[in-house]
Amino acid sequence: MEIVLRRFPLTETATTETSNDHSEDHVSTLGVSNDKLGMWVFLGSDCLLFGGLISTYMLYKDRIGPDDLGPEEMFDIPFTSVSSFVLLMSSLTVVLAITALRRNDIRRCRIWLLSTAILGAIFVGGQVYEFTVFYREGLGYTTNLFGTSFFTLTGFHGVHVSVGIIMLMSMYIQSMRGKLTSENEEKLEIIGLYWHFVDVVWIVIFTIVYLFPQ
Amino acid sequence: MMKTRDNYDLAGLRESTGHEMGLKRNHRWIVMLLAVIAVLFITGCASNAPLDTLDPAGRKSNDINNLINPIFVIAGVVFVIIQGAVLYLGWKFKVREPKEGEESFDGGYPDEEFPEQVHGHFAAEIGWTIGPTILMAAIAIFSVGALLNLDDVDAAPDEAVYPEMEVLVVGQQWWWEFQYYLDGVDGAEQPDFVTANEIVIPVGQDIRIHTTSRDVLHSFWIPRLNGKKDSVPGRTSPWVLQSNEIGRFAGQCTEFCGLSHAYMRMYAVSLTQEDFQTWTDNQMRTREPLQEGDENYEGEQVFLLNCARCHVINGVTSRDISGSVELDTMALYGNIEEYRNHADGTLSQGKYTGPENLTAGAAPNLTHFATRSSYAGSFFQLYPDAQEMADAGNYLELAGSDYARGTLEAWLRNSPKEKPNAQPEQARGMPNLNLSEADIDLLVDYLISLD
Amino acid sequence: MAVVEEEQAPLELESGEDQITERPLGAFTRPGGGGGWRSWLFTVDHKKIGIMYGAAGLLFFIIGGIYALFMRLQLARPNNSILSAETYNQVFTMHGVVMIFLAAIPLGAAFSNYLIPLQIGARDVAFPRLNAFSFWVFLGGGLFLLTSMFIGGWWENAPDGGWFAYSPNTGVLFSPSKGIDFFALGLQITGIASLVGAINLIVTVLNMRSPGMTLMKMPVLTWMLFIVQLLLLFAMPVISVALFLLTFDRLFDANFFNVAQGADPLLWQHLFWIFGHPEVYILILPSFGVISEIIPTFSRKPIFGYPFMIFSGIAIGFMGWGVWAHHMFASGIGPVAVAAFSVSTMFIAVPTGVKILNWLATMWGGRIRFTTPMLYATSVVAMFTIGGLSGVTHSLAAADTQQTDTYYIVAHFHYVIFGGIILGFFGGFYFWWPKMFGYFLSEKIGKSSFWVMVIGFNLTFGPMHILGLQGMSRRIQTYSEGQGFDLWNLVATIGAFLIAVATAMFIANVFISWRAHRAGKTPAPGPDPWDARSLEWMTASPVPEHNFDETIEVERQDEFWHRKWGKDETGRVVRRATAEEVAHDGSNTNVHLPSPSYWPIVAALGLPIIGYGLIYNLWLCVVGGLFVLGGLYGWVFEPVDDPNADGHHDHEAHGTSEETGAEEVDGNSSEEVSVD
Ligand code: HEA
Ligand code: HEA
Ligand code: HEC
Ligand code: CUA
Ligand SMILES: [Cu+2]
Repeated sequence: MEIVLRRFPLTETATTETSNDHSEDHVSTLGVSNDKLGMWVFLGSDCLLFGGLISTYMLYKDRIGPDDLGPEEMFDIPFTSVSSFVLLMSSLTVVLAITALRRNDIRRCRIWLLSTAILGAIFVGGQVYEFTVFYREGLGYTTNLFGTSFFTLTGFHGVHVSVGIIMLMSMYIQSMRGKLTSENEEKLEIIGLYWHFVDVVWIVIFTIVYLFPQ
Repeated sequence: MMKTRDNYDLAGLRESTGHEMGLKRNHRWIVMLLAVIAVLFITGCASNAPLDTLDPAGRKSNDINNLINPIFVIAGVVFVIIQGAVLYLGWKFKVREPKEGEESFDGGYPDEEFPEQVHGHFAAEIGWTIGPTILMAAIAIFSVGALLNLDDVDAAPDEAVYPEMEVLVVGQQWWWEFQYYLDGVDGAEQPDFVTANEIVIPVGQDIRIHTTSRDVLHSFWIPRLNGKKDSVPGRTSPWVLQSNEIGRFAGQCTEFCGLSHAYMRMYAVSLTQEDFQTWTDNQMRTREPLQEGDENYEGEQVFLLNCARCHVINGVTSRDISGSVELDTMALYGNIEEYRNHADGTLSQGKYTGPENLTAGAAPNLTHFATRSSYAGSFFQLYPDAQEMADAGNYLELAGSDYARGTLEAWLRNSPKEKPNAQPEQARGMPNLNLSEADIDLLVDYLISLD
Repeated sequence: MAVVEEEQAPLELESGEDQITERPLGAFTRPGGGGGWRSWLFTVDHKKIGIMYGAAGLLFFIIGGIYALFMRLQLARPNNSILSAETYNQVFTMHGVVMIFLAAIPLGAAFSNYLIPLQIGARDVAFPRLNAFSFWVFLGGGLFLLTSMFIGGWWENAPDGGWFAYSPNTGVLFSPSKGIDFFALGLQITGIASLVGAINLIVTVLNMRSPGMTLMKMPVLTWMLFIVQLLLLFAMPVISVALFLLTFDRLFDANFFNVAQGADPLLWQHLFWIFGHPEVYILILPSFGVISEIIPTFSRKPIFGYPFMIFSGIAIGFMGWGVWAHHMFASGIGPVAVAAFSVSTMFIAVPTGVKILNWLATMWGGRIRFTTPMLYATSVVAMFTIGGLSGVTHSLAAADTQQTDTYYIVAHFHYVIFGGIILGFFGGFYFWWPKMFGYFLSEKIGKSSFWVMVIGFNLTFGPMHILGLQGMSRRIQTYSEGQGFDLWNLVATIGAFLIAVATAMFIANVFISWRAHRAGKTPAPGPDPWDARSLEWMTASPVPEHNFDETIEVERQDEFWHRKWGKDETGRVVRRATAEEVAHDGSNTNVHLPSPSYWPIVAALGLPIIGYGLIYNLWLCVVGGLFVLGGLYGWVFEPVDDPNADGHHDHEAHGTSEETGAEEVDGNSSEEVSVD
């Protein structure tokens, strides 16, 4: 049986796509679905976004007033290490969610989905906490160049994590409505890609911003 | 078999047969046009242009010209080859348009004949990859040499009055300030003197300048002496000015700097070593406040009342317009270390922060206003004959010669009208001070006495 | 005369296409096509979107051109006072911004959208609704930018920082009007459009090619457009970062460009030009692609050195990332950096030269028909070269210190932009017009407007070389007598008006030819009026909504041409079939097409509202945000298809009355329906 919708793939066809039909191999020239390829392409572009923000931070991190606290004094490495670890773990749980879904183990999948979202939320919460601490210690967004570029960089990352959480939660809701099955496991896979990317970016930021403040 | 298929005919192809003939006739017309353009081109180039980049008067600009001239030749050769090829190929391989009544095939081809279907030629491709590569590599070596030479600002000191002299060139909206360090900027606390809009240099000598800015980007450019160097706030960039001739060389700020960018010009004036010595001696002279009964005493009072809150006259003005006149020297101007390193925010030091806050925080130093041939970003000429006199080596004689009183009066009457600026809302440039005509008269007399 | 048969793809109709629909979800039905304006507003058809991009791009080109005419009027005489300094600064900024971001990029997007799917034999792009979304975002962002001219007073709040908006002149302190906010937010919005479009088209090219269409069989145009999308993909985030920083500085008191806090104004320059230089290749490569289709067609030869054309395009795309600081030779970045960027810039001449010479080699020995498109294409080869050569003279950093920010630069980039891009695009219009709209543009008007345009163009920008070398600075509102600029400025102004005449002639041509066509005075173009080579000519003109009646099996490069022509035993080219025999007639009605959708335009509308909100009142952001979220929500929950699809897809407006749209589908069935 040939499925027309696969021939003219649309984003919206994800829900009706059957992944076990490979009869029309010209459907996607590369054998990857458009949606997934699209996500890869988008992430390539996002690298440059973070590249620009990280470069800005690198340029400006030392430009502080004579009495201001610098990165060395400001950062609480153990705290951030823990929250980084939490985020890292969420990459694992999202993988577990995907494999569970592949086995059509919706219950497990749901558990892992939820834990991924919670781990992400803990990370974002930690970031918010960190921001308030910094603010109380006197580093506001407009205080100096270090503050401006630090908050912008980590804030952008935080927004990325939050968007990821929203996507995970909408998957969770879909699974409650019985719309998330092994048939359309790819949706989750794509969100997983995004999630891993956001994680990797954090590792880069953590290394550059926190571990090497020189 | 060669059936005409009307629907494949080009729209208007048939009718255009006549039109084509018209085009042929047009060809002669185009040639004529090109000839006219060529003549205009040559005459246009020859016309007198004070900013001409192809008319070097200094060592650096000469070096640049020696680089660009052969490049223009190479580019010209490539130009002729490519344009020639386009014209030749277009002429040689153009197909005959179908004649009246003749059947056309596939919208224009008179028959089914195809040229040889060549898909490519490997050797040719390699050839025209390698060829230009070698050419560009040769140009690159040549050009990097020229660049390093141009950027070499550490030329050996010449036999000169001030062999170590350096000038800090400070751009602001929309005029230039020149801070002279006769013994170099290193270790100097403050400049020896400050002037505006006209940078005066001794002929023949390499003068190292450092460009910087108090507000936005500007670019310092005296085309006949050297290329341009941007003034970047928070940075100083070294550059060299050197002139082989005595004369006055026009310049123009070339980095867009807001409203009055077009009106931000400058001059470089080169003097003989002796004249230069005379000039510096004069510039270092501070003034004594005038006493009652002195000529221009009233003028100075009007000045102190209206102008001194922005403008400095060394020895006369003070920041405090209400109090007595205090000696105010160069302390107003930051030293170069501050311009080199603004990380601590010292940019605002020494700034005027009165009611009409100037964004740049500075106004031209007027101590020796009358020795300058132009004012307000060199947009206005103070002395109508300045160019001829300076070129003839008589720059120092300008003060005291005929000056353009009307323009100066107009400037004092309402400067935003004469030169666009953003006063009063945006606090940039000199405001309209609503002076009375009597005050203006007094002020002009006073200003012109500042030699 | 025996025809040597090369292997031929079977011309049989594909059958057994199955169809899945979902039960409609309450209010979230999809628009059911219909004619008129709705068929454009809610369309997801790449051809309509391409046409809308083209129309919008042309409109913005005319607007940008009108700005240019005002500048030229102001500069015609010394000490002129037609425009005040303030207005002049706004006008040249708007001119640059509108021309680059709202005319040149979208015109490239018009060709990309219309032609990429056709040239690779696909039915549509990978994400049709996303495609509609990017168009509406672009249009919204563009109009948002233009409203800066009116909002809060006539020419009070237009951006005035120049198109590259160097900091710190664009800070609130130095540019207190709202202009730069409009600039930054407007470009962020149009940037989203470009980015989304790029992702879409990259996936399309990678994943939607018809069977046998390997990468190295794709037409040169598709290749160049593909490279452009990659450049957009990586360049857009960089300018987005720069614009974010600027916006945060202006709206939220951040310090990125606050020199008093120790910020470095050169950060902006680096970020801008890391985007900005790839950007110029984003602009030029579509035109290179266009003339790579036109020149072979009218020379009756295949493109010379196809692989070299592709690889030189790739090389230009790559090298374009390593040269940005050639815009900063005078900024004071230090001699080592300057030398490195100077050398890297010079070598871009090599791949570009390869292209020029390959076009010439394609013409060599050909049988050249100088139709209007071909005139434009050859003029690109000639005129672009002039701009390229002046570019090489800039790349010698020492020499550039004399040239930068003078009219010599203005001459350079108008030669590459107008001579390279605009002339190429006009060629493209004449070439593909019959394909897009089913009628020819008059050759007579076309040729004469071509000559007016080329002469006007050279009169406008040729003298600028002299002006620049004589020291005329750019972005100056006026100049004085005695600076030696009078004559050539006057000539340039006259030239600019000739360009305007030529542009008006083109527009007139569109209407006159259309009326002649309506009156039946001109022949219908048929599928393949020019004896062309690539797949878009293998279907009816105008292209039916479903593009092709069946999947095309591609075996070689220029598949369509090879189906028409073969070789006899002596190697002579002989006809194998006529174009009509080969081309699809668009009669297949058994094709499923994506339904139109309300949501892309709704979601897109939110972005300019958010923009106004950021400038004027943050509450508006909430409204805009609701539009975006609502649009996305509707988008996600919209049924896959219009359940009542009755074949009334938006054809009429497209110029054809055939019914070729979606097939009958039982709207109540949640089962898979087999239609055969
Ligand atoms: C379509 C856009 C486009 C294109 C294609 C180019 C192409 C090139 N540009 Fe241009 N450029 C701009 C648009 C473009 N530019 C714009 C808009 C600006 C100004 C921005 C602003 O300030 O507002 C600018 C500014 C600009 C500058 C900065 C000038 C300054 O401000 O100081 C420089 C400096 O190096 C430069 C160089 C080049 C070079 C070397 C090429 C090369 O790619 C050209 C290569 C082509 C050829 C060389 C011709 C064909 C080759 C042959 C026939 C082979 C044989 C030739 C040789 C061996 C020499 N350009
Ligand atoms: C795609 C890019 C593009 C295009 C096509 C053009 C086209 C033109 N440009 Fe452009 N130009 C830029 C991009 C472009 N420019 C950029 C980036 C800058 C730098 C800005 C900056 O410094 O920030 C610049 C700067 C610039 C300057 C320098 C300004 C300055 O530095 O002070 C000048 C000066 O003459 C100029 C002139 C022109 C002219 C005369 C045209 C002409 O070719 C325009 C021709 C078009 C028309 C004239 C269309 C009008 C048509 C009609 C009126 C017909 C209407 C009829 C009907 C509706 C029926 N341009
Ligand atoms: C609020 C500050 C301010 C006040 C008050 C002010 N000026 Fe100025 N003046 C400036 C600035 C800024 C410039 C530079 C303007 C330019 O070049 O665009 C200037 C330029 C000048 C120049 C040209 C100097 C040169 O060499 O270029 C003269 C002369 C001058 N002012 C005279 C006066 C007089 C006389 C008064 C008082 C009646 C006065 N100014 C009051 C700010 C001020
Ligand atoms: Cu200062 Cu332009
Ligand atoms: Cu560039």
